Amino acid sequence: MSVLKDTATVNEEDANLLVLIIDTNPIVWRKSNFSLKEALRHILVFINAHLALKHDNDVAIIASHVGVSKFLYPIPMTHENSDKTIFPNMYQKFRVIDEKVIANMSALFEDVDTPNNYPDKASSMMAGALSMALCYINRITKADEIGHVKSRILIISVSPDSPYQYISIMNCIFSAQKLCIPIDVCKVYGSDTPVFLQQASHITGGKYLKLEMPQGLLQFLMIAFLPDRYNKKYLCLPGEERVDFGAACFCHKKIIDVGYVCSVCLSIFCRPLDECSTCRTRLTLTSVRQNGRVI
Amino acid sequence: MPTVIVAHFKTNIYEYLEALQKSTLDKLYEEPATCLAIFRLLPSLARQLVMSLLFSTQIMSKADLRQWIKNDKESLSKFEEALDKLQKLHIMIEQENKTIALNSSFKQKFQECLTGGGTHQSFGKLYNKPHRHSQSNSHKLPDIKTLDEHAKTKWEEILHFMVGTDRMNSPGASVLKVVTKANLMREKEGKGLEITNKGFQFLLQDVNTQVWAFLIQYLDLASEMLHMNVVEVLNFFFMLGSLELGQDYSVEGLTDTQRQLLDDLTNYGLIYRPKKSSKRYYPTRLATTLTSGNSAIVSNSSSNNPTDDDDSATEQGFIIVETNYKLYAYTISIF
Repeated sequence: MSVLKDTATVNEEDANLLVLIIDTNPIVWRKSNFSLKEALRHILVFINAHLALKHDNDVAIIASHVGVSKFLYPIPMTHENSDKTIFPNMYQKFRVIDEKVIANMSALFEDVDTPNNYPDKASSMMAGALSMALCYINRITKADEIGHVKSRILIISVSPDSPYQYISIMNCIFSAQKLCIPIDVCKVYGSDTPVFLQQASHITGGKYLKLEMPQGLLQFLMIAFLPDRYNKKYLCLPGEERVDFGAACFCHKKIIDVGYVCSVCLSIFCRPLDECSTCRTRLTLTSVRQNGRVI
Repeated sequence: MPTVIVAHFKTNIYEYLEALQKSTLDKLYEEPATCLAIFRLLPSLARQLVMSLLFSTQIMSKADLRQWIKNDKESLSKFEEALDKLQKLHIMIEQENKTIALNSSFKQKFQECLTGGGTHQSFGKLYNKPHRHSQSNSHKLPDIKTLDEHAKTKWEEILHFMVGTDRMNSPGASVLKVVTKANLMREKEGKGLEITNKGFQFLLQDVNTQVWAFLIQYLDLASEMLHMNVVEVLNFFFMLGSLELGQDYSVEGLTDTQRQLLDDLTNYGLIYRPKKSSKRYYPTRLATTLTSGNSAIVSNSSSNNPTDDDDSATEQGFIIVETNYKLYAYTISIF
C-alpha cells in the first residue's frame, strides 16, 4: 500500500531528475553547419550544470538515433568495471557521467548496420526515446518513497517528426501530461513542420524554442532550459507562443489540417470511412451530407 | 521533515561566510570545489541567476536581470532575496556604472568546475601508490563499514562527553577547547566541565548541523589561537564534502595548515587514517555529507541515507513453526 504521492506540487528542496533526449540522426546533423561533436560539448557542460545545482539532482540521457533509441546513461554494468580512477581536477560525479555518455555515444555510432537497414533515414526514433524516458521516470518515481524526486524531459531535436510516429508520440504526450512531466524542446536545426514536438511542449506545460544561433547552444540551454520545475514558477522564459496543431491521419500517415474524426475514439482520417479502424464503430456520413458541404 | 533539516545547517555556514571580509571571500573563490560548495548553499533562484550569467559575456544591469523575473509579488521578493544573498557573499558585484556582474574569480573557477579544466586538484588527490600492507591481516584497508564505525564512535564520544556519561575515553584536548569556546559546556569549580543550555539544544540538532556548528567554532579557535589560515581550512572542509566515500586520498598537495587539521578531524570522526603518520586519509560519511544535506550515519538502528542499500538488503526474514504445525514465513517482499 503506498501513500498517494503528490507529483504536481514542487518544493525548493526536491531533487530533480532531468531526462535528456538527444536526437543523433547523423545525416541531419551533417546538413546543419553545427556538428554533433561540438553540440555534445555544450550539452555535457549543461548536464554538469544541472548536477551542480543540487547534490541530489540526477540525469538520464537517451539517444534518439535512426532506427533505434538507446540509453547513454545510466546503463547497467555488463562487465566488472573497476576503472575507479579519480581525476582531481573534476568533481567525480560530473566526470563519471560525462565519460560514460561519450563512450556510449561512440559505441552507438560504431554500429552502422541498424541505421542502414532502416528505411526512413530522415527522422529519428523520437517515439521510442520518449517511451523509454517515461518508463524510466515511472520507475524512479515508484522507487522514491517520499515523493522527493520531480522529473522533466528535455528534447534536443534536429530532425523533423515522422508522421508514422504520430500516434505513438501523442500517446506519450498524454501520459506525460497525466504524470505532470513537462516536455521542453530545443530545436537546434530544421524546420518546424511537422509540429508534434511543439504540441508536446504546449500540452505538458514545457517550452519550445527554435535556435537562431546554434553556436550559442550552451547559453540558450542555461537560460531557457536549466531552470527546474520550482524555478520556472518565478522566471519568464523564452519560448514559442503560437502552436500549430497539425495532425497525421491514421490511415495514410499524411499530415492534414482538415479531416474526419471518429466520434467515439477520436481517431483522425483523411477521407470518410464506413467503419472506424480503431474502435470498429459503424460510421455514417449522412450528417455530413445533410450540411450540404462535402469536403 | 527534510526541508527543515537542510535549512538549519545551511544557515550556520551561511552566516559565517557572510561575516567574512570580501578579500577573504575572493581568496576562497580560487578553488573550484569551494565555489561548488558555496554555490549549493544559495537559494534556488540565486543559483539559477548565477548559471544564466556564468557563460555570458554581456554587460547586464540590475534592471536587465529583473526582466527575467515574472511580474508578481512573490517572484520579485524572491529575486530581491537572491540578489541580496549573492551580493553579501560577494558572488555578484555591483559596479559604479550600475552594471552588475559575477565576481571574476568565482566566474572563472566555477566555469572550470563545470568544464573540468584547470590544474587546481581541488577535488582531492588520489593516493596512487600500491598499499604496502594490503596482504597482511594486521593492516586491513578500511571498508565503508569500518569508516562508519569510526565516525560513529568518535562523534558519539563527543556527545556522550557533553552529556556526562561515564565513558572510558574522553575526547582530545581540542574537543574540550572547542566545546568550551562554543559555550556548549562550562567550567564548574572542582567538577570539570558541565553542559550548558546551549549544549542541550546542540544535542537535539541533527548531525549535519552539529558537525558544522562544531567546525565553525573550530575555525574561529584555529584562526585566533593557532593562527591557521582560515581560507585554507575552509577550502579543506569544502573539498572533503566533494570526496567519495571509501576512497583513499593522498596528503600530498595539502598545505601545512591542512595537514595540521588532519589530526583534529580524525578525532572528530570526519577522517580515518590507518596510522598517524600515514600518507593517506579516508573521508568518512560525516565528511562526505558535509555539503550535500544527506544525513550522516550516527545511530545504528536507522540509516536515513537513501543510497545506503546495505542495511535493507541484509534484513533477515525468518520462519516460525508452531507446535500445531502452522508455518509462518516473514520474507522480503518483491513488490
